[in-house]
Amino acid sequence: MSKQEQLEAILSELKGALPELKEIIVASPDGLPVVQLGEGGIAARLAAMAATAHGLGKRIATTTHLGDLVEIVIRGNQAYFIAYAIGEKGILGLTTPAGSNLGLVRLEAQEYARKLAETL
Amino acid sequence: MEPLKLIVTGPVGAGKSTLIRTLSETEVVDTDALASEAIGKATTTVALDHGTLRLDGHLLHIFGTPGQDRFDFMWEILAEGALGVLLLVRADRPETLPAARNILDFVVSRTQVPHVVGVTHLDRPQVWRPEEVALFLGTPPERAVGFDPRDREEAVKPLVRLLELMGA
Amino acid sequence: MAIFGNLKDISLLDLLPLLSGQQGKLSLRPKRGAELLLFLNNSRITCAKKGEAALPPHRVEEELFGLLDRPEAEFAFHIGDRPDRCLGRLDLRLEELLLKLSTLRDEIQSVAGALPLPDTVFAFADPGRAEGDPELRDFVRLAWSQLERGTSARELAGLLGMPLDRVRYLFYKLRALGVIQPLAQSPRPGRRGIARQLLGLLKRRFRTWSWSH
Repeated sequence: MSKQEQLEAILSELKGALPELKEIIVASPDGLPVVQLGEGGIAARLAAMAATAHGLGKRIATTTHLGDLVEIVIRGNQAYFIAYAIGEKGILGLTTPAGSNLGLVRLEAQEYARKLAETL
Repeated sequence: MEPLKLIVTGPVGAGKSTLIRTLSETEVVDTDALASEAIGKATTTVALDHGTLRLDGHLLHIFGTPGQDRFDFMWEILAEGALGVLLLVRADRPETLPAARNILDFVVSRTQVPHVVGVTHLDRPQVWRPEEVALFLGTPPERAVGFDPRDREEAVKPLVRLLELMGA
Repeated sequence: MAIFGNLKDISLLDLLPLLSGQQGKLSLRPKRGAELLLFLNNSRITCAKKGEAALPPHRVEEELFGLLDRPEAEFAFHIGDRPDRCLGRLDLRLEELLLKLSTLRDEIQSVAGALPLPDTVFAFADPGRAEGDPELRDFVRLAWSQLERGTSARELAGLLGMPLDRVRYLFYKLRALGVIQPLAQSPRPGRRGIARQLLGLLKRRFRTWSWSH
């Protein structure tokens, strides 16, 4: 299986664990889409934005002495965007509806970010 | 007093981060990430660079944008309400001119912010002169200024030109 | 015999010539969006449907153009199938269509880095200059009211149901001809005073530089 297919398989597994997820993307640290699972056709844009949010989040965390950045959460009144670092190699970004169990989403997403780090 | 904002933009490798480091009197905040494309350097700005320059009672905030067009949303966010936009272009890299024109078109057509073009690397053997760069970009020649972003006295040249044009 | 597969493996430019001698129905199912049905007969597309709607010729071109770059899309050819009912019979010669589409794709790829950005707003500079080229003239007519007030390639692609890159390419050509130009927003007013003030401060601060240019 190619690396791309392995990454796709991991994202499908994540989608299986959390079927409510809408968009799931893996972006390179500089904002290029690596793999995506979703319906919107917005992957390229989302990848760039995930990298921007993550880069800025890291800076805010250091400037305001928050320690290391753990996650980015953007909360809309209909859904959340959540992003995690995949080690130094990329960013996992996902959107989930407002009614989701956020605790569970966070747990699973972090677990899958670790899995992705091994493959990426 | 109203905070003043200056935007430094341009294609990858034009010298945006360099200019901000030269001009800023405070430590520059950057958001570098490892580059996954071959862009001639190891890291690239993904959100913004930020520095400041105090001029008596005025604090000028200088923001640098990412260079790649996938970050065009940041150009618009950062340019909103800005005093002006400095578009940096390398005189010795004609292959980056179309990307520079795309950035300028985007900013000009979507914000109410005046611009000048800073042309760098004019010390190379073969270069486009500032007025030739302006011709390609479709902007009047007086809006293009050649300068060296590494030198503090030189680095203010495009800003001075912008203010002259705005005050005229 | 069955001809099936995925466009990411077998491109449309390989597939269509293969079928040009056959009569039947080609089904194209992109990963996103509705199924496209093409009825082929005698090296021609005689009917095209997306969902329930029969497509006019320019929409067939747009759909096929969107499928050129090996997207993920399942295809299957059903030999002998005829449209049970087709509002709007077509007579599109496959070879001509393929040539046109591949030329267009090559043109777009050759200027890919220079294409105007999707959200840059363009408006008319001199609409008369599009008259010499039938394709550009037709496009300008379609987009007339939008280009009068200013529009982006993204907005127009959505309104006209055309692939974004195709609209960007048409914008690129129209701009080169001087038909359209980026809409120039007038600068925010009331900043002359502050500009003059800052200029004075800068000149005092950076004395060593000669201010004549």
